[in-house]
Amino acid sequence: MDDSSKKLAHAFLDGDIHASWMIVQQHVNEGMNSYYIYEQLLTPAMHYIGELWEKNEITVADEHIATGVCDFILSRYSFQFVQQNKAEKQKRAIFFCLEGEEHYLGIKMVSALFQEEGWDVRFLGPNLPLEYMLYTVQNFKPEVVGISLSLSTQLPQLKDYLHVLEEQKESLTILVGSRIGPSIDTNFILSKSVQFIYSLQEIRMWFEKETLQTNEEEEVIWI
Amino acid sequence: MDLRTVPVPMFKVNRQLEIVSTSQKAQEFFHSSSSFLELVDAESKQKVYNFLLSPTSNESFELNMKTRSNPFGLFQIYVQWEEEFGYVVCIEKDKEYQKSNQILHRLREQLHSIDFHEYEANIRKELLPSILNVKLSDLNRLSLSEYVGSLEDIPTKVDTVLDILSVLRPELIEAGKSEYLDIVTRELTDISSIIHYLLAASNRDRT
Repeated sequence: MDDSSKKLAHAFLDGDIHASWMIVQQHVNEGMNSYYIYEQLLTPAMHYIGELWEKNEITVADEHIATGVCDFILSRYSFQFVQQNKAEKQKRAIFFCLEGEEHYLGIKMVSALFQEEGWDVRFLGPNLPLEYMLYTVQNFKPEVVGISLSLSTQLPQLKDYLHVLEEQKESLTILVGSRIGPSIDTNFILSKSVQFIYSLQEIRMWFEKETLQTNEEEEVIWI
Repeated sequence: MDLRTVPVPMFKVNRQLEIVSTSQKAQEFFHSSSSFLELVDAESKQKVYNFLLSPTSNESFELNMKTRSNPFGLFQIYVQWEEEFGYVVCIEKDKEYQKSNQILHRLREQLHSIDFHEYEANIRKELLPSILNVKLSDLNRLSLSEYVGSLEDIPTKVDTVLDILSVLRPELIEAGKSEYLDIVTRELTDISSIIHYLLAASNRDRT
């Protein structure tokens, strides 16, 4: 693991917002992009904090402090991509964690990347009941719905959410993110509109593919 | 010792972590199981091997456990081994963390609506008193963010005043007021340097 991530993890645990921001700023000044900041700096720092808990060096209370500081740094960093004036034809996306899921930093990073790509994004946070998701989907009418879960025991619950989304009239692309990794059994998902995402690099590839498709559609219109 | 009467969840386990007997409270909290490991969340199992089974370790530690009501309940674990049997006490911690969870939730909500441009402007404002050794109340009256445009005009205005003073210089010397003239000139020059420093600092922060 990068030394900077360890330093950042200790700054998070100390509740030191200034030191944490300086570490991120230093990497930004060195030319690192958002993918690097999220995936090579913030994520390893939070994983390292998980390891410290496993070694009995910190408690869950310490983890809560670190999560709060990490959220602050992530929010401050990604604020530069928040668009004050929304364009009319902007694509829309919503992101949230399943009800009962509290690990929200990963999906917040994905949400920030969509914002950076110019999407109109609503981040609905952790622990979102199915009814609230449905209400937002019907009112905000997103093209993309991003869902996060971290326990394999939540898969039946995911099935309920997907079932409700597939009943909607509008065609939706559903991205499911999980730190459990590719080992989980996703055979129960038959719809092609559901895609599992295990890293932010896959989000980058998804954007490339999506841009390519949009360009192709525009070319067809011109012909 | 009769485990059943212990007023907290407690397990008597062997070295394979098979449950030999439990307290009444343990049965209330957890589903019936023959193995202690089955009650532990997958990501906490390594911690059980490292701290529960280790004969040298006698420190308490946190574990996520599957209870009847919560698949992810947090417990503080204490263990004492006597020959082949370990006595494991599990103290529920979720209630203790309720308040910090609520605070974290509030923080997350607030982060959603923070204007970080304004936040950074405020940080600069907080740093300036220490740099310039001035009172914060004076600086608040200045409201730097509102007058940032006017701030850039000050050096030119000070230069104009200094130029006019130099025109008046012979008359003031003749009138015996040269000491006042020197004080005014010195004060204006100081103001000019402070403003130049402020402008340089705010430009550096913006880039």
